[in-house]
Amino acid sequence: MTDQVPEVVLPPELAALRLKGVDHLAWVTWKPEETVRFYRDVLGLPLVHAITATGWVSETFPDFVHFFFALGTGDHLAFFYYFGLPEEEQPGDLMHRSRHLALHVDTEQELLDWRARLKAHGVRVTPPLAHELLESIYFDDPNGIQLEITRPLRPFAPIDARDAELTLRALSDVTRNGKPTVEEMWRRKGELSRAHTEEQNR
Amino acid sequence: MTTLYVLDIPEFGAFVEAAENQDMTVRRAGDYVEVTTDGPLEIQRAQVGARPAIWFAALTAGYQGRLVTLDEDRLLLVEK
Repeated sequence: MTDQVPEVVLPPELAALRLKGVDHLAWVTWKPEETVRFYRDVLGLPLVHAITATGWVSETFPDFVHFFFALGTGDHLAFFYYFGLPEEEQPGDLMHRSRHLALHVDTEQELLDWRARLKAHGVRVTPPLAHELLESIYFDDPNGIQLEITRPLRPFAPIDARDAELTLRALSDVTRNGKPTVEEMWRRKGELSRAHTEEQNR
Repeated sequence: MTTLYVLDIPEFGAFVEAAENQDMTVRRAGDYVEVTTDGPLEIQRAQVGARPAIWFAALTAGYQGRLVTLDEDRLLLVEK
């Protein structure tokens, strides 16, 4: 993946203190066998590390296995399996869709090839859906965790980052004041956009 | 007067064209295109032809006025 971070002026104390991507993202599984089969054999992510331990973290911490798949660019996807832990209820539909992991591919053909591979392994997968800057397919892992494979429609540009700053300022302004609505946010954003255009015309 | 701001990126270009075709006032300044009209500002989905993710994000850059409708077919803003 190309570096799509826009140029920003960092405070001096952060210039030498930069985070460098995801090391690992960790989830909990109650289905270790299916999880390994899915991530290693279907998605082709090498199983690279597993640690097993008694629950040493705190008095009530269960005994566990913690295992890691390599995502291919130095980052990892990890799972905990906890012995004796009752299975938790699945989240509701909106939280299921919202909390997801999107994996990157570069081209439309790769996206289509992944869709074909998932279908061939009996995984239910959506048709490609084009968002603003990304086109994606969606499917669930054996734990019911939503995954996405996505490809860029165009790179993120500096204008996207500047606009994002104004959008989040508008959102912060309306969430600070009681009951926010999307209309209130859009009206506030309109004020900020107008200020931007007036500054340009000065 | 009603104003719609449109972020000046390719994905939203069809909104600006639709406004120009309806003789709305279109002014580019910095990152945004300011679309202004006297009275209601109405854009039909059919004039824009945007995919759902773009159409329903039509107001991302904000507006001045009151939102009456943003549904599958139509965007309508009116004066306050």
